Amino acid sequence: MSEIVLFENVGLRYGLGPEVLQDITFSLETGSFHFLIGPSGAGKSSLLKLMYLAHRPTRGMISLFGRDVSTLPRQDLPSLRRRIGVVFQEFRLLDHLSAFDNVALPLRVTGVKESDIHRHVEELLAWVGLEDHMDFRPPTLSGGQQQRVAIARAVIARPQILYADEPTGNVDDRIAARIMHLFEELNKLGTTVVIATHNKSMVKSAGHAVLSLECGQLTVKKVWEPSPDGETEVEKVLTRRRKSVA
Amino acid sequence: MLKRSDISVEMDDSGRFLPWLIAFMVYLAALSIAGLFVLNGLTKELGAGVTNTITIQIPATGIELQDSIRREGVIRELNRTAGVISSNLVSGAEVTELLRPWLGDAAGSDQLPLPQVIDLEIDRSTGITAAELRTKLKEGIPTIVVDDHGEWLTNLVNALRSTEIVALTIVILISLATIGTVVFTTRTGMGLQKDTITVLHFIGARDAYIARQFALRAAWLGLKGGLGGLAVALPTLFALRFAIGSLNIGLLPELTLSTPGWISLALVVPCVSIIAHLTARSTVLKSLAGQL
Repeated sequence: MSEIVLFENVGLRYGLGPEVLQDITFSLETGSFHFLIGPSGAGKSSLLKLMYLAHRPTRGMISLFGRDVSTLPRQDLPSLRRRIGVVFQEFRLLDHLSAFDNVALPLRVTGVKESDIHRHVEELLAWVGLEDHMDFRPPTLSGGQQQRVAIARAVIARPQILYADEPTGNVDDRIAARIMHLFEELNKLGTTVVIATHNKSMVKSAGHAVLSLECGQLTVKKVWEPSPDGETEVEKVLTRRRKSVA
Repeated sequence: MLKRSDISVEMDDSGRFLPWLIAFMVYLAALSIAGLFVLNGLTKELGAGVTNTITIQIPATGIELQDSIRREGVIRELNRTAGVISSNLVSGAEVTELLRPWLGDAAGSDQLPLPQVIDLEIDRSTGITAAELRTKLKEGIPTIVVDDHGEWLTNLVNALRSTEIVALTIVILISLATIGTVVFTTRTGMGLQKDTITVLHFIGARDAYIARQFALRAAWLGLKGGLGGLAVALPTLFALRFAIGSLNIGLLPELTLSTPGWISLALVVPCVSIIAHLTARSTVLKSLAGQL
């Protein structure tokens, strides 16, 4: 399998602040499935932003689909972004558009025929259980329903990479299992999947590789490994801080 | 109707006042363009009709025989003068009709001594001038009046041309103001829809796709405003024409808009819509060029 994402000594800082990501080095192979875990503030969202081209790194090299994004001309970004699906933590749905039109957006920007758009979008919204809410605008949907619209929008164009930030945070167990099943199915079809989550039980039961971020530094584990001392990641950070203060 | 748009129409207040601004500008532009074409037609008509004519007035003496001798003498002198193509004695009835707008029925009164009027057609390329003719004719009749229409019409035509330039300048300024307004409202709209633009970028929309959304909306608003402005301008033009026509000024030719003038008026609205489209598109593309 070839590397679809490659980070080498990547650092990121916002303005003149401290580095929120330090010397990040890892690669994702085509068709792989990873969980991205770490305590709040560890830099998960920042790492995802670098991966879906919302930011350029302060230092280091990022390669996506074999292309160095640091030197990529601006006009080439849309074609790369179309190969990436993103489920944002805060959904980022367009409130003035219906659920249908939100999901249809990635197809419309690529010029897919309206008849095909209708077929695909209706099918996918039915799959995520929103067939009766296609004409609803996001503000009239519950958090869970908005999340499902966001997921449908991220996967409608069959992206080669799918990034999801807490995709099951606002849904019940039944829908969460269904969403995970959708991600697994997409992964089996060749989509590389990265899911940022705090849900340890989901990470543990899925048995996929784990990218673990702590204080801006990344470690890659082939499978979920609980902390040897039984502490959670958050507890470990707190313990370390307490020790440094003492 | 405007095609379904990915940008929020309700969110953007600029969409509410842009058509009104454009309507006002189209109204002014339509009046200026109509004025421009009317003045242009007037200038051509006045310039072409009488620049090669001179009018000679022989004051009446009250004695018919003496008037006749003086007239024959002047016509003889004119026929000898190089550069005079033809001379035409204007009949007393015609002179009376010409004076009627100013003098009313008194123009036909026997009590009013009307001058004898001779219309001359001259060839200015021969060097003949009204001054030269005046000097020559005054030797015989010191009170004779030689009017060169070319002189005062040249001044009038120059004044009309200056007014045309003013009208054209107004049209250009209105176009620039329209462009400025669209730039401002587009930038405001982009600021209000920053999140939408970000999401469109993240899902792979090209700048041209986003610019098209703003450009189509600006074109639609321009069309709406333009039609509104033209709808008010046309009755105004008809009212002006009626008001000027009712003045009954015999000197001025009829103030009518030529076919090119009507075509230009009809093109104002599509032009404004196209200007709005291109301006919005270029504004969005320039603004997005600095983003990731």
